[in-house]
Amino acid sequence: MAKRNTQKSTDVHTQRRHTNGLLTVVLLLLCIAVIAAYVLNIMKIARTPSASTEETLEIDTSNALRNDQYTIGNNPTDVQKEYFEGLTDALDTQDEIAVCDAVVRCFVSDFFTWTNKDGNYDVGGLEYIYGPKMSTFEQWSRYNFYEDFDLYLHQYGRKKLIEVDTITNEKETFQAPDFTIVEYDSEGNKIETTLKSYEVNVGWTYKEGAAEPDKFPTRARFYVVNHNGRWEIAEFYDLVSVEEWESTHGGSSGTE
Amino acid sequence: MTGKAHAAHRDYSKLNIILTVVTVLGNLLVLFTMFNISKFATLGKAAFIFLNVLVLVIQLIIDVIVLSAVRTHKGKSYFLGVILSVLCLAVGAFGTFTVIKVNQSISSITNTTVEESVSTSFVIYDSEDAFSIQDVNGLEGKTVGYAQSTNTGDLGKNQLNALSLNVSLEEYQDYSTLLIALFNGSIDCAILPTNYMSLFQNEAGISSLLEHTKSVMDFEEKVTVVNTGGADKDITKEPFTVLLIGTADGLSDTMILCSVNPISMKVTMSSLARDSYVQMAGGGYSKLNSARAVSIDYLIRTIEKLMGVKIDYYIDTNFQGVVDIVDAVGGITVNSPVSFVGQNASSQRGHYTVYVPAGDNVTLNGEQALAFARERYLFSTGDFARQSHQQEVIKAIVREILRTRDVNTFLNIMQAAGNNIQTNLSVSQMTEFVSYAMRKANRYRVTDHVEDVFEIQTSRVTGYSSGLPDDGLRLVLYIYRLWNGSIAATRNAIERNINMDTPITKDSSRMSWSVNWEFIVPTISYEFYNEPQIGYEEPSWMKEVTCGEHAYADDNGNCVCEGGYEGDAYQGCTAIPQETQEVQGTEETVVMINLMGRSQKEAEDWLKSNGLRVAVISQESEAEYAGKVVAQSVDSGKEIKKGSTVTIAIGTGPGSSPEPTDSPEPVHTHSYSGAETTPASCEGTGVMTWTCSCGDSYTETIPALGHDWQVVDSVNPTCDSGGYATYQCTRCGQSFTENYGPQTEGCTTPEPSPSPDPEPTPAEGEQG
Repeated sequence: MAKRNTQKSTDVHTQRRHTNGLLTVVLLLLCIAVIAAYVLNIMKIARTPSASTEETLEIDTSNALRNDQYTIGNNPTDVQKEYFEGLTDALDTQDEIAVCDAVVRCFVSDFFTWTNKDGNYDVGGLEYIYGPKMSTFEQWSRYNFYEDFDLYLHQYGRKKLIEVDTITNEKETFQAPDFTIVEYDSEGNKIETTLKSYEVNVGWTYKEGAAEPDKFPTRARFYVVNHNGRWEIAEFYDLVSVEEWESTHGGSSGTE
Repeated sequence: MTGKAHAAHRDYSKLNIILTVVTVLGNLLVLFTMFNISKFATLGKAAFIFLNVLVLVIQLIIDVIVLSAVRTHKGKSYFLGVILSVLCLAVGAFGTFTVIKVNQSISSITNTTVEESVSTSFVIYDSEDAFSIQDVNGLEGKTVGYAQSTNTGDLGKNQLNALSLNVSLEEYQDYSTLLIALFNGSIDCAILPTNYMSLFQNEAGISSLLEHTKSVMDFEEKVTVVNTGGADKDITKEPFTVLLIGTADGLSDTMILCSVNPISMKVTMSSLARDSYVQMAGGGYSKLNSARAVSIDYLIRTIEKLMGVKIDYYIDTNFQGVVDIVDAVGGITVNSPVSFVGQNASSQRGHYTVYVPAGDNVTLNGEQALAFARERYLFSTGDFARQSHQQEVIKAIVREILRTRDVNTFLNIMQAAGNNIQTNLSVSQMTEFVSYAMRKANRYRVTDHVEDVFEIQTSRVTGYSSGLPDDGLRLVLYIYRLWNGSIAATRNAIERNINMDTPITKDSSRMSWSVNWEFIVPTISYEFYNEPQIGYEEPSWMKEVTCGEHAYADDNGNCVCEGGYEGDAYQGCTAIPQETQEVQGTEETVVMINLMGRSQKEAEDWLKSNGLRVAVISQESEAEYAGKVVAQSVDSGKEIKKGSTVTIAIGTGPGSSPEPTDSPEPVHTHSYSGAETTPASCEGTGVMTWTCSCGDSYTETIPALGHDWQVVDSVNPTCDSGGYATYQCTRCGQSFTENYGPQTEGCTTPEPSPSPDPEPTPAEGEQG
């Protein structure tokens, strides 16, 4: 009887070992299958095309420049970086004329450059515009200077978009009469703010190869105001229009 | 081996099998979940890859623990293995359930082949309610009309064949002309949707005749509708057009034609008035909203024909869809000019249960947002104010979607959309575009308003009011004719936005800007165009009308007595003596009045005194409506039998509930006579006092009439100068002028006048 029990016990034990072995194999196969399935899924996700256009620019933050008051725009060109460093130097000197010049140069090199812009909404130079009117300026730009960006990009390609190359002063920068800014509060009451301002006249060139360069401005007059210690652009005109107006109405063109 | 050892071993073997099965099942369910949610990987590739790696590691750890437990049978690790495998199964099951629900929602949104229930009725009419036809068999030998190309028409004809009824069939352009034919006796019966009463309750002239109609047979059948698939475009690279349709009772209440440019991120939204009288895709002319009653494709082809623009996609939603989506995003913020109590999502008028507050940046929930988008009676520009509010609601929803980063919110939106929205955009197109928009929003400089990455330019296709006289019915059907100039301007704006091969003509070399200059977004379409207007000749039956004393001709040329007068309006009306004026109705009926805004006691007193039974329910409302009637089961102006029960909803405010009344019992009937103690004006309410001979009395507020604005003078803007339009109220004479800036399209930019060069500040030491 004992011998029979022992034999029976051995058979059961063997059967159980066999079963456990099978389960072990199943679980091992499961692990392999899980790994394979996830690897395939990850490869499929990685190969999924990005939801973007060929022209979408990733933001390059590796060379982001900033100083105490300003931050350089997205994907800055070398020219933009050069003028931004000039702005930082000017802020250190605390020379107001130098700062205003530098602010205008930074604005021009960003706003009038399209090669590094992602779309019509990617308006450059907002950093240097009078703060409370930045949103309004941005919207104005989308209906004016940036309105046909998508057409140029599609018809000429990114390489033929405008990019500011050099900026020079048309004449010396000087302090202008204080600039009056008119705003309205929520109840419609008029609020006038008078700020110290400088007049800056600059001309610039675009890099060779830009499409239809005659359709873009190359000279402008800026009024830069001191808004709570920060120099910001309150007004600008292209110089061709200014000179036409002055020739009709008379008027000096400022000091030499 | 001892028996105890044998027993322990047997337990482990069976447990091992169960444990292994649970583990395998759990792994499979989790894998299924991960594969399905990876469909949305375009929303964030890096995040999804990380998630897959994380889940893979966790699953492997669980599998290894279970494997070790099966092999070693150690108590603690076995227990841990059991727990983890059960957890894995539970998570997998929940994930599977969720993705199946999401997939079902997506499938119902994007499935262009849908099964719709179509309810159809055979409707007859008699102005005296003396119907000669009592049931459908009475149609034998009669003339039956139907609207062409409609499911209702086809089902009705099939039903007549099935019943073997011999009838003459007449085809009509749409439901409006079909109804008019029924009313003027051209046909004996009309095949209409069963909800035809609510379809035409707002149709001037027709709505009053609906009360004398009756259905002799109603039936419902399912039909399969196949809508056209969307364009095969990569909408993150190519501009596209999409038609937004708000459908109510089978008609398109809202139609907004949008164009989207993914490079400029500019969107144009152009509203089309539902009463626009246009040429249908099938050839004849009708109101634009009736095209939807045929099918979505028919509406699309009609608008393509009208605007000359290809429509790539459509998104069709019902009222509940707006409510659910707004609630899913947690509410929207709008600028509401007036506060009011509006309609809820029920399409039946009279369900006024939603309070919409006034103010800037007010937050609205789903029902409030819908009421805000539907309300037009409170605004002098009526349907046009409603179009503007609809666009504002859409922009607000886009804003909230772009701002949200919560996965649960996205799931709620999908579920809300699945129940109420149809579109021919594919799942991949929608997820890719949302991902694309979010990427753009993330790099937008104005971080407080990331939704402004889209520059949305709104407009509407404008026109003028006109009419179509019907001699048989002696009524004028209201229509809205569109300016050709507005259609062209809208088409040009859309073309510019979607065609990136548009010639570049803009010269940006002259440029100026100042903080002191106000910038107004250019108008796509003007209110007026210098075009001849198509009116209608005053029908002879209107010209011939000569009314008697104290009577006047209404819009349909019928003479009616002035208020407070009775009799033959064509011969002359006489004043109604005060003491004999009765509440309208017969001895057996009473005409319901407007109880909205009255206190619960006032409302109950009036109902009981008019022989009606009262039932009260509570309804959540704003604090100012607590204890007041916010809804009534019988509409104002309806005649009902005495002894009937009227249910009133009393506002509870936040948290409180009024006590319902005891079981109602009929009481003695008063007989009231009314007198207008204070007449209503355009902006002011009036007062009507009702007095019973026994001395009991009550007052009723007469709503303000509202202004009846008509254009009395206008000048179209030109390139050099602006324009204006002057409106005057025909009732009180009040007027206002709306000014327009100079036209910009096709004009050269005017040169600014730069400020003259100032004298520079002399340098130190220099003489002046």
